[in-house]
Amino acid sequence: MNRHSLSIALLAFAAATPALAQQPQWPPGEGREIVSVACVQCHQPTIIMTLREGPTGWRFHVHDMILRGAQIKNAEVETVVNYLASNFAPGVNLPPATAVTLPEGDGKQLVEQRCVACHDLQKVGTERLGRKDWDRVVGHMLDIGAPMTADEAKIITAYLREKLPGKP
Amino acid sequence: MKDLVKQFLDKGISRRELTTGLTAAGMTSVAASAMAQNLAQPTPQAAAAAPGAVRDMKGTGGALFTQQLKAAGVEFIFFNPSTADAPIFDSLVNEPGIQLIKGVQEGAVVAMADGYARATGKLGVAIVANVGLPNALCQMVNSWKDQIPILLAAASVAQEAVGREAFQEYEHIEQMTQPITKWSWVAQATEAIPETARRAIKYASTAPSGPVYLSFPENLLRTEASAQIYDGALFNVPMTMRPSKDDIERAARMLIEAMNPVLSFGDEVTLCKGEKELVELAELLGLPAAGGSGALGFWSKPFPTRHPLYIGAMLRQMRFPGAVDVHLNVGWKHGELYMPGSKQISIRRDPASIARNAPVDLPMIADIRLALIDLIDAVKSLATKERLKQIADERGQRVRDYTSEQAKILQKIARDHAEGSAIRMERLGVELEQWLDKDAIYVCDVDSGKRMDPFMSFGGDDKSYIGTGPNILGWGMAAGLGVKLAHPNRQVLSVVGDGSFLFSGPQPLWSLSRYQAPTTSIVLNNKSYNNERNRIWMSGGTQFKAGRDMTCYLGSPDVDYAMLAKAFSVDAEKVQDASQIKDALARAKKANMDGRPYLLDVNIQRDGIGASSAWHPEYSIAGLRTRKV
Ligand code: HEC
Ligand code: HEC
Ligand SMILES: Cc1ncc(C[n+]2csc(CCOP(=O)(O)OP(=O)(O)O)c2C)c(N)n1
Repeated sequence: MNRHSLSIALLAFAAATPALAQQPQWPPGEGREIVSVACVQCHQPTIIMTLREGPTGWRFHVHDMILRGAQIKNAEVETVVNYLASNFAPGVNLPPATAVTLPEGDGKQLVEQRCVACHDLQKVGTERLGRKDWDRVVGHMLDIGAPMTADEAKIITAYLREKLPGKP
Repeated sequence: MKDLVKQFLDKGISRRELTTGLTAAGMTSVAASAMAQNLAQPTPQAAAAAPGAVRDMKGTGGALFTQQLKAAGVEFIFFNPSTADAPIFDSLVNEPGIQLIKGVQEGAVVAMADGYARATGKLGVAIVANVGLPNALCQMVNSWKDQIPILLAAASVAQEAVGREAFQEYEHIEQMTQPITKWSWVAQATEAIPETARRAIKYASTAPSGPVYLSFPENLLRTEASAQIYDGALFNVPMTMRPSKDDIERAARMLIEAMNPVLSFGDEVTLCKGEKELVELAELLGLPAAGGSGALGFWSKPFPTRHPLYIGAMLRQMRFPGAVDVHLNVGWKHGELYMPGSKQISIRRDPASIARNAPVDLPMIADIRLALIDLIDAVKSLATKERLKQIADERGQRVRDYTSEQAKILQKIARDHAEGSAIRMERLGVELEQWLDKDAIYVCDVDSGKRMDPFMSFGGDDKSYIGTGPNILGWGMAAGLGVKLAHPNRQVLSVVGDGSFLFSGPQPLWSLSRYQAPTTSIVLNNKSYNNERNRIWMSGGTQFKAGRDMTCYLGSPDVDYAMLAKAFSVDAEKVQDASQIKDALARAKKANMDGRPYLLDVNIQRDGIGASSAWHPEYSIAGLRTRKV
């Protein structure tokens, strides 16, 4: 059917040849033993290592994965969320950023400070979004743990709406 | 007891009433259902003795075909007509025994037949035009992968025209069907049509079942001939194979003596109607029972999902129950891949698939239900009641401790999403669980739908779940009609994604409307191939890095699915806000009770990575013009 389902199926095949599944270096910390087993059963852990989110964002992913079949016990959920939210938190161990020049304007600096804690400005600077979309995107970033105040979010949204506008 | 049996044979009472009666009269439930099963299947001798079991008939090829179908118990033909297959439909003008159900796209025709076959275990018959055959094949991949018995037929060009570039002839089209059929054949003579049909029915129905294809040159359908028509029981032999007694005893011993066993199960349990026996075995031995996760080819849920022994998806490495020493796999083609290093027992009905991809210590080919009955008997004969109770209590307690804790997570997630106006999968799942009747059938053809499932209960005395293993989308709404046809007295809900809806197109609505099929269809409208995008972005490629979804956004245009339904005279509404769900569902139920189909276009929230942005590549063909034409 599609590529990922195929690779999920392939990991199932890996059941017969365990060496196929690559174990990455999970950072130390309480919860490592759980995550290093429970989170590598269906897909490669690349995405887990790549995302940077706060506790709310990670809790959403952990709940989502439990619904899909990940084996995390009730009493362990918060340990796992804390492990992920501290080791894969905004600002932690980011890959080198690709430089992006944003248009001048009020709020530019704020974007450059607040919007680089989890990914670089490639994600922001290449987007051309409608007004509602920028509201939603910045709201989502705030939800999943972007370190900024609600007022800063407003300034950023206004800047993005004006300087990187797409179709309304 | 004798009276009960007589009443059953005279069709005075149903099979369930018979089983209940026999149990009340002191029989064990296993013995009672075995007896009912035997009585329900006439032996060939009994059928031969019945008048009319073999009869001579003269008629057109079309009539010979439909009469052989009827004699084999076929009640419905799902179809889309062509000129060449007219003799088939001519033969039904005065034949009330077969009901025609029309689909207006061949994919829908096959999906309706497939839904009917999944819901009944009977053969689904579909007839399409030869030029529409490729349309049918996409949906038939679902039937093929899940071993659903389908007879697909088409009329082809007349024998004298073959190879002469006749209108709409493309040579050897039957070869196109070969990779996804058990058998594919071109009829050779009118008088042989019943025999050819019998072979097709037999190959499709005999385990491991699956689709077959029959092509009828149009001259053969038109000409008259004499031939014999056989009663179905004379050639459609049930594959009620039992495993070897020694193997069963060995398996029973291994399971009794195991330190930490696990049970995995799959759709072959459903195909063999062994659900009750599966639960009985798990309870007898206190076995934790694991199924597959959505992507791994599950189309049914044969083990009750709210059962305290149900531990969820089978994984390569299970944190619970931990290191397994004996793994019993019942009827799951992927099951054998799990728990390497443990002793593997696998009971399968498909000889080509068992032990195909992983080593199996104790493989058994059998009818799953009969094997389970034998295994239960063997376990009971090898250990005292007291010992078995002790084993089941000890093992079972550990499992129950685990599953009761897991149930709390579900409740917590449900509570987290109980408020707010956004319609999330979790919220809708909880609402549907409250809305659906206890004996409802939930037909699922949506990727994200897999995340709603855990909030609903399926299996056992609860709702039935019918999906497709390979997830070839565009199946759900049409399949829902087939399911409703099979069980008119049960509530049927089919849930499709907006992506899935657009793969079938609105065409299934035509059949739902024409045949007044009182099902509810829900379109989970998230304006995206939501899960597809998540999976694509998960690889961390350029789309993820640049935050640009090049392929999956479905909005712009924002399709109004309720309006589409109304165009087909199907009542429908849009559900924009979570506070509207309850009332909308109530209106859907009312329409269904009044005998009308209903569609809900639900504004479901996109989620996962890349969900917040509606960015998509803009491109305008109008913009390419230098002249306004
Ligand atoms: C039972 C299989 C399974 C297990 C175990 C599992 N995942 Fe996933 N995961 C999936 C699937 C399937 C997807 C793709 C989601 C989709 O299709 O939308 C996914 C996607 C993800 C994503 C991408 C976000 C998204 O919503 O698509 C993250 C992050 C993730 N998983 C984290 C985890 C973590 C953390 C764990 C351990 C707690 C885990 N996974 C364990 C099946 C699993
Ligand atoms: C807490 C970490 C974090 C911060 C800080 C953050 N982002 Fe994100 N952003 C993410 C993650 C994770 C994704 C990809 C997954 C997703 O969509 O949830 C993402 C994706 C995006 C996308 C792609 C669209 C999408 O839905 O995936 C855009 C645009 C974006 N971010 C803009 C911003 C802007 C603007 C800011 C500053 C206001 C910002 N981000 C700050 C975590 C963050
Ligand atoms: C006929 C067919 N074509 C393509 C695919 C590949 N595919 C898998 S999931 C998916 C997107 C499904 O979108 P939707 O039905 O809206 O569900 P969602 O992911 O939004 O829940 C696609 C296109 C498929 N499974 N079947």
